[in-house]
Amino acid sequence: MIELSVNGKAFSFDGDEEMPLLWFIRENAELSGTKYGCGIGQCGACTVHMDGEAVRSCSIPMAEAAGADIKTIKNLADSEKLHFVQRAWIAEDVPQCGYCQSGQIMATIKFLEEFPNPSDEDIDKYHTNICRCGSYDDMRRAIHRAAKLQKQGAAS
Amino acid sequence: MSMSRRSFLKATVTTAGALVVYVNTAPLASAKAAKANPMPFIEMAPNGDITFISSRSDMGQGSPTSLAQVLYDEMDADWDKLVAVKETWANDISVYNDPLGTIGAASTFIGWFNHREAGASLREGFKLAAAGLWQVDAERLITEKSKVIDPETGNIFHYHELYASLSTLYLPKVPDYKTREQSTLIGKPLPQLRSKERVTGEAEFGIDVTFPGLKIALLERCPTFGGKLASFDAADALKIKGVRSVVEVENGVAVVADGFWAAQKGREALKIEWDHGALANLSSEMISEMLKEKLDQPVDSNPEPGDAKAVLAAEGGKTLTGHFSFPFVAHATMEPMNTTAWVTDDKCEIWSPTQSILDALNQAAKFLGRDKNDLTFHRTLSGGGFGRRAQEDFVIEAVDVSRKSGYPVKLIWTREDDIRHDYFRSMSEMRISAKMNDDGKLIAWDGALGFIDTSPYHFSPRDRGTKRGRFVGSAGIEPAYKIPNRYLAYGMAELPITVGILRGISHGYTNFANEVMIDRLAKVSGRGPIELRAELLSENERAAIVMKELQVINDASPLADGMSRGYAFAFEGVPGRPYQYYSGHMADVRRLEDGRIKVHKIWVVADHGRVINPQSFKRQIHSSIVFALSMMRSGKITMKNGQIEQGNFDDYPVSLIGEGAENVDIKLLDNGAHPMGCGEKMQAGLQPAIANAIEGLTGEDVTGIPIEGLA
Repeated sequence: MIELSVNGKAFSFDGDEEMPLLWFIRENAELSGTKYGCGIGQCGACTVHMDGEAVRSCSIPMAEAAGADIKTIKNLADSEKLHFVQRAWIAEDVPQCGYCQSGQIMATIKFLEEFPNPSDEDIDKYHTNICRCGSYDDMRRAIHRAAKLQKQGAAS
Repeated sequence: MSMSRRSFLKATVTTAGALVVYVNTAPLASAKAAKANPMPFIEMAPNGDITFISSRSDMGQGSPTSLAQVLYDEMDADWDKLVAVKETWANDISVYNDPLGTIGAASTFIGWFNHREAGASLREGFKLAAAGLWQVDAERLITEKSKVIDPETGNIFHYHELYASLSTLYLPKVPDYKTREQSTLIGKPLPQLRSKERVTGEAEFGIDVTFPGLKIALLERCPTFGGKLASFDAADALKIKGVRSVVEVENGVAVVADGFWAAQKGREALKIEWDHGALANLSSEMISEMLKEKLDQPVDSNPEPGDAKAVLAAEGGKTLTGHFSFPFVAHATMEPMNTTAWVTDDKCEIWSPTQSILDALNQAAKFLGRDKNDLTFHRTLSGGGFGRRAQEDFVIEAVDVSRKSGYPVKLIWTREDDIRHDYFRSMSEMRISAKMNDDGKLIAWDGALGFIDTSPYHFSPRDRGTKRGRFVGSAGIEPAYKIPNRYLAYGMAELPITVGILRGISHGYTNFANEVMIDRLAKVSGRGPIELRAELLSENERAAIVMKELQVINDASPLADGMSRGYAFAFEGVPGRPYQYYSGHMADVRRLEDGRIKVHKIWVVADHGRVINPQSFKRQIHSSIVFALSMMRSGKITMKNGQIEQGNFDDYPVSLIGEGAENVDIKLLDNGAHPMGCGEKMQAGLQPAIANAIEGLTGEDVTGIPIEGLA
């Protein structure tokens, strides 16, 4: 039996321990904001936070998620206020189809913790989630905007 | 008042007390009008909130926002009361005077007709309703922000106070449209609708559809094109925990399970024998050779005007011949194909991220042998489309699996399924010979194209097997340039390989070859590349203006050290018809220290008629650059032994955030012509402009895509 927490809620799982965390999140925890894009950790549409790290949940077997604290896109906003990265995304009008954006936002939150003053080169090098709509120019502006919001303490 | 078909007779009330308003926009007294039903445009709540009913698929291209702007502007509705967007619905192919397909520039092109008319009709309807209640002449009333105002009395009706009167109203004629000066929403850079749900994970795509009892299905399809199932053994698959059923369907063997993982494990456990068929030895190289032979075995040709072959064979002038090869290209939408279907004894309910709701519905009904009205089709948001979702194959498969298994199923394609069983942009070969005379005039052009016949797989069932079905493989072979001697021809390989439409259709390769040739011809004869194009387009006023604007930009942007510049022109349509667009493209490239080639800057001058939402339009150009560069850098799908060799983003890489252009400069001419979308239209011009810049940098001829060393 695997025990884990998703968005603050306790779950247990007694299925195939090789099953990727992504499908547990989508099907068992019924949190469909986390997307399937490639299944091999290439595209990042399935990015979630596991014990404070951004991970590609399609490539994390359930066995590895035992005891983990998982946070998904649906844990970011409270009913009143969106997360500052989400707000930056809306301010820059980033989403096109939107399918990859949950993963993009989850990846950006962790990226900005590590690079609070990111250069364009940092973004090119470390922000590796795929967007097939090609919303990258708007996204780059949104990342810089989010960095400013983070500095202003909007995170709180 | 004389009766007309323009009535609001299909205003219906929802369980929540909202009024759904339908308008028939078919031309008066036309055969279409007799068959067409009024189409739903809005849903109005008792408090005045208005939900926009989106006729077009929402796959990131922005047209639902633009069309809502057109409707609300003409209707004089309060944009702040646009609280939600709902997908349209339909249960019969002939329902509306609108095919609802989200392809080409159809959303904006058709929307400009029917959303403007519906909006203006509603505005006039509200005025008539108010006039009736006030017992005044409707002519003296004005409308603004969801209100009818009588300037003489100061009386005001809010639109929602007039809902009850709408259902009985008839309009004698198509109302006048607002002038450009009167527009309040058209032309405004409004942000996209539905962004909030897209950043919170609330947006529901096809793959997110769920309900109690729904099973997940994966389908093992024959890996070899033209092959079929010989036999299979499901015993091991059925032993996997969670697997409920294994069924043979038309496209292969489906595993139905409680969840994705069980379905995938079950599929891996299947033992299948395939009859690999006639293509079992086929490779990309062999197809390429076939298509090269087809260059001289045309199935269709246009030898006029003049005698291009004779002029090219004659002495004198400068003759150039260019050969270009293009691989299969896959769509790789972020959301892989999927559809949820529930077939019962007398009903069929479908949820699908489709670009062609009516065709998919119609084909599903045909497949089941049932009346269309027994089917219910829910279109969902699409995680990208690029033309892939115009095909109905992934819808029919889900229906097939549900029917055979008896379960409601969500058929999910893995990324590998999605790449290997795509409706690819066809491989193609282009050969162009052209001659400049000693005065630097382009006097002869001989263009030949070879591609895989697209007709059997055409997205529109009506055009399958017809000559019209080849258009998506051959369009763009004809340049807009006036050339006194011109010969055009195409040949096709008949192969059972699913080929289809991909963002920009065949213009992506035909116009690529044409525009690379033009830059070369300019160079060899000492002509300016823009100036030569402008000369050849001088009789096409809109095209000529685009070239003039590009020249101005070029002259104002001196080429920096280390940069190489390329140019291209793109278009569709002919003067005199509403369906026209023209764009001029300019690209600067440079070498990086590591030797790779970087696109430093792209300029685009676009005349797509009047611009409905400039922000959305420009965003599509930025996106198109990223898409174009993906394709030029690594957009190559190859075949070996009749099977696709790639399967995922590791062997079919696409652009990441740093892999677009470093700078983008866009000029929208935004004239008064009929508005055209641009989601797919930029591919035709961006790629050749970049290719031309690369030729200048490397000094080597570009021979198609992909191009090695592109950063």
